[in-house]
Amino acid sequence: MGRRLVVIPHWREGRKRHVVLKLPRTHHNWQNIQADNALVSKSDINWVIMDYLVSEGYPGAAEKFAQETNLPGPVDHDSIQERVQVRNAIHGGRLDEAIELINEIDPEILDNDHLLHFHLLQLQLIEVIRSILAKGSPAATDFLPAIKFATEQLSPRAPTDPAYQAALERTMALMIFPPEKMTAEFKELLNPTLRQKVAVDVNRAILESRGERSEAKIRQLVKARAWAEREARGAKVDLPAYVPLGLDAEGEGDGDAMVT
Amino acid sequence: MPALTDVRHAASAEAQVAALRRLKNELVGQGKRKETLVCDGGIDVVVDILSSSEDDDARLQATLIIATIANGGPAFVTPLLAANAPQVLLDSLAHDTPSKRVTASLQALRNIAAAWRASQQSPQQEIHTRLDLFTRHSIEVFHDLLRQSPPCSARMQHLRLITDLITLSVISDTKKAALSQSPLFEILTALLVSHTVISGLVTWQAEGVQLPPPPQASSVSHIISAICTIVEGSAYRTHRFFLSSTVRALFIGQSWNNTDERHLFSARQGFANTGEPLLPVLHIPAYGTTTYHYGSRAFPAMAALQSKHAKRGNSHYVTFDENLAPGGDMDHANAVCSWLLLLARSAAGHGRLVALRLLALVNNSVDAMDSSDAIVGGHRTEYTQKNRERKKQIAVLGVPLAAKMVQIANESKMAEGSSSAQHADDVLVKEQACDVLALLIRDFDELQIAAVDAGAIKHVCPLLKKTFDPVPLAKPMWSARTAGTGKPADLPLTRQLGSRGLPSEILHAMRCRQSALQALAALAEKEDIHRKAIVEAGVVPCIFDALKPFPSDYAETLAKNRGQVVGPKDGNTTAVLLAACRAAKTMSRSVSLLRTSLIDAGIAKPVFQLLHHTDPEVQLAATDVCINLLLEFSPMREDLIAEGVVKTLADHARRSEPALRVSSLWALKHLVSSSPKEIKVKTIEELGTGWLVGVIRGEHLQQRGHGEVAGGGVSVAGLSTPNAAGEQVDLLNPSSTGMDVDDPDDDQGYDEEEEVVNDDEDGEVMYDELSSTHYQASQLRSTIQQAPSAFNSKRYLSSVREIEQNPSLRARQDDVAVQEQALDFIRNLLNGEDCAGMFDYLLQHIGSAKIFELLTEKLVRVIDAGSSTSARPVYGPSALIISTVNILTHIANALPRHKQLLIAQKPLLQAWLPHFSHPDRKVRVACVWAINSLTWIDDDSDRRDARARAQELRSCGIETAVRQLIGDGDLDVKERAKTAVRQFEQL
Repeated sequence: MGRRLVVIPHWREGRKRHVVLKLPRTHHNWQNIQADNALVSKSDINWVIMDYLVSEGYPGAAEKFAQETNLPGPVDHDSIQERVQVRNAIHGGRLDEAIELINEIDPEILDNDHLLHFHLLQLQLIEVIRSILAKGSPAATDFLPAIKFATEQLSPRAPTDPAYQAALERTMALMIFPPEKMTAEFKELLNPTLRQKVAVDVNRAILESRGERSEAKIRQLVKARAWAEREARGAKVDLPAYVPLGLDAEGEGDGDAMVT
Repeated sequence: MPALTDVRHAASAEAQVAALRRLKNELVGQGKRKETLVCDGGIDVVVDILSSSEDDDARLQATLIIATIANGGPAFVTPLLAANAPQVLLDSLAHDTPSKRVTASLQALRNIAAAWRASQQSPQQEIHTRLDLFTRHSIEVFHDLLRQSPPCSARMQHLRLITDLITLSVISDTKKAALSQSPLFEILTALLVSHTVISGLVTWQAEGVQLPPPPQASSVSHIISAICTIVEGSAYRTHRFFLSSTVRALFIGQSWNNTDERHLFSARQGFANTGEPLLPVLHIPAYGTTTYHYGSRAFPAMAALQSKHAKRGNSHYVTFDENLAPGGDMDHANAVCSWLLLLARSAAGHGRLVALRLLALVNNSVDAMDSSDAIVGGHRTEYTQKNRERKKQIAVLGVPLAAKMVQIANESKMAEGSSSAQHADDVLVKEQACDVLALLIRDFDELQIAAVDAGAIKHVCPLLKKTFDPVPLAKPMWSARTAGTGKPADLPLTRQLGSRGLPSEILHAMRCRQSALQALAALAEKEDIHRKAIVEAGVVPCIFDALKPFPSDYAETLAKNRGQVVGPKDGNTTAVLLAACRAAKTMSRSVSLLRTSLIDAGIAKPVFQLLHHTDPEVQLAATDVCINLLLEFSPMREDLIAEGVVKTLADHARRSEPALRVSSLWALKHLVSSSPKEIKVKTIEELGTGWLVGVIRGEHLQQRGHGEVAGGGVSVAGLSTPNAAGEQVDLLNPSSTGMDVDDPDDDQGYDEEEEVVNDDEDGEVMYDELSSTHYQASQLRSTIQQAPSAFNSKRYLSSVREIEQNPSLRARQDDVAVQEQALDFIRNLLNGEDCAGMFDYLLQHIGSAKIFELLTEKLVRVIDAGSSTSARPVYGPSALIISTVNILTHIANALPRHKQLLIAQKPLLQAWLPHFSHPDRKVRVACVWAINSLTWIDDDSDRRDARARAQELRSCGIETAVRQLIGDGDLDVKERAKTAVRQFEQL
């Protein structure tokens, strides 16, 4: 009975040398792992949560959390606020504002990261097209601002990489099909989740430009955990078909485990 | 550009800021617009706003625009420098600048430095401009920025940017020297120490010493990298790093309770000061049975001829005065190396590499100052033991780590999905891993073996081959406007784009190639097995391809057809050429390879062409290869002679650069060895007998004003007793263990410090083995037995610098090296079948009186006994004496009449006599060989003359001297002496 520890060497993470998978001895009592959570100290967990709130940009929550847990509050309140503004601008589809804000923080971010810059400009083009489409049955000339924007902002970068070219062509295709006849591939471009994805990338780039960890610790932990499970399965270690992350409240169904 | 017009004609300050902001947003990520802006005169406008505007916001935006422009690459360096942008940016830092603008200014400077650095690699010479970011004033400003740093993220960013500035822009030795004396260097060192303490590697016990708040972990690699940049290229500067007060306090702090605990940091204890050993504990037997072999495995018999302590440079005849424990404080040096190993092991990626680089620099500099010849008695074992422990630790823990990094560099795929920071890290690892390995193992056969055991050859060779893969260049950005190609030449420089230089993809390949070649050169340095393994890996053609320079218009040609795939054999940057020459040099040390794979690869022709390269460094490196290619048994000798190598080398030998002169003479020396008489005559005619005589006499040196030299020997004022009083004062004052000469309040500044130390009369150095071995004996003991805190780092540092930098000493060392080659050249001229003929040639062209006067000059003492400076006579360096005596042997091997001529030189024999009891066994062996030749009976007709010669040798006391050598401790000397005595007796 009890736990079985599977230690897997883990070189890629630098300082971290191995990942420990805590597994139950038998398949039947694996739910006991939940009880073993006491092995991790509460303050460590609080720190991880705090880290998540700060790096993902939730200043209000971070401060409340700091008060409740007696942790020191976030140091650079302004820098979190800046990132919040950028995120809100991207989520709200105000891409020109977002780009200007990023350039205000550090113009090198977009000057060096061409892919990210291209994504932002692509989103902006999508917004321009969206606003034209919103008017209903636009005439060909209505699209002129979109074409002008694409020519000035996106086209210079397009020939440098086939990926840019393909992305630009796909975006321009939005002007050709009426919204109701679009395939899923094009609908995806109009979907707000694309904004969220770019917003995450931008957040990471800003953190990186400051020399800070570009990702919340908890994301790294989850990744390491997923990696370890994959390695273990690859090495044919005897594992239950499904090992939950243990992030869910007790009693919830196994299938609802948070997967990132 | 409309935004630029708005900036120019802004009605109000607010409007101007808004226009600047718009301009910035237009420029970001748009290379073509940056070019347009420059041609429209934008740089002048922005720099002008930065220097004259009152509005803080406007200046911030202007700074950001400059940073963005500079980020565009080498093409923007010329206009930015023409507009004096770096100076304006530095000036804007000097005032009470808001933190945000400081960051922006530092970024702009960093971008300019990075673009400038890339432009320096260009094959075009004309764009090699100077960039001077570290003036005395700016160093102070940077120091202030770091000193006031509370640990907030903006300050941390400043730290990273300033360290990057150092890494990118500091190239020249004078700048490095100025920085190493500056408080900026001390604060960087202190930050590294602070990081160590906060990571819990060492408990900080030195209460008196204040440490700055620790830096972010991510900044540590930047700090180490900057320290490496400053100390690289000088043992003295490296000593300044690890003997700085904070680094010393890191370990010496442990001995507050009067016990020296520093052995805990050593290899045997594994850095165990906090309890558990943090490094694997190594068991190193106290008296190892390991035998080190010196010299070439291909010629085991030659080992006897090589110095057991042959080092780079000529330090073997430089010994310290009695205040200087050789090698300095070995416990401290070992602790520092363990510490750096620990830092390397706890870091990853580029951070690990830079820590290993610093480790290599420290180890090399300790070794450079290690002249164990000077240590006597029982201390030698303790000292060598500690020295060996350090090397063993590096062999077991450091080298495999470096080899692993090479493997990572070789196998990394540059994953697409990784973040940009990760990608940048990967690029640096790829470019530098081999270089760090090379730096670590160069000059140490033990470490080279460790590297090969760790699989270094297996990983370096494919890495080198990959750099010859075709490089697809990034396609240029598209522009709606067709760029106006007709660029009027009369525009001011600030409105003209400079050369783009080489594309970054090619620069990356070049850096990788250079670094891999360095590693090959180091791996092939000593062991023939390694060389063979390298040949088997199939990289010899790569070395050949790396010897070809870029055509000078290469960047232009590329610019015309961008988007192409660049061929692998288009050429190489100067740095690659140098590395390729080094690799060719060490590879050609193998006779069998010279005769097989190297001749097959046709290595001689490109090397010969490089002899005519415009860069003197390349010329030197190519000459160094020629030294090996011109050896007697080299099949390439004929080809090179046919190409006209004799004339080229003779021309180079007559040039004034000492290193080139030594190498050229060395190569010619090899060339005349066992050559046909015509070649010998042609060579000496090419050099000129008058010139040769002048060189041997050291005439050019005297002309240059280092007149105290005669015959390469040396007199240095005052071999006086140590200044004991001064030393005591230092001991009582703990602060003097630091380098208080660098006190920031010291108005004298950095340069004057040189004077201060020069006045320190304890810093003098003795240059002669003969006398120094004598007077050092008793004094050394006392230095070693003192408590470790008594080690006076300031005094030790000053002597390290003296050895490295004293101009007259260096000139003297250079001159001795030249003379040695010139004498050996004559020896090789005389060697072989036409010995007599060649000697006749010399007699005819130089004159017998002159020749023997010259040889006598090399043998007589430099300073007479009983003169004011020394109780003992001082002779020239033993290397010169050996060379001279070897010439005597060859003269004695010529015809009987030449023997007679030699024996008739009474002053020469008188001068020769003392050397039969020279402390260096090699001198004694050479002397006895000469006597063997002199007493040899050629034929019956010579018998009478031979008897007369023996008589003459007896009367001047040489026979007695030879007979005494029968009891010599050295077997070689003893056996030769027996032969000589037998020959005496047969007469």
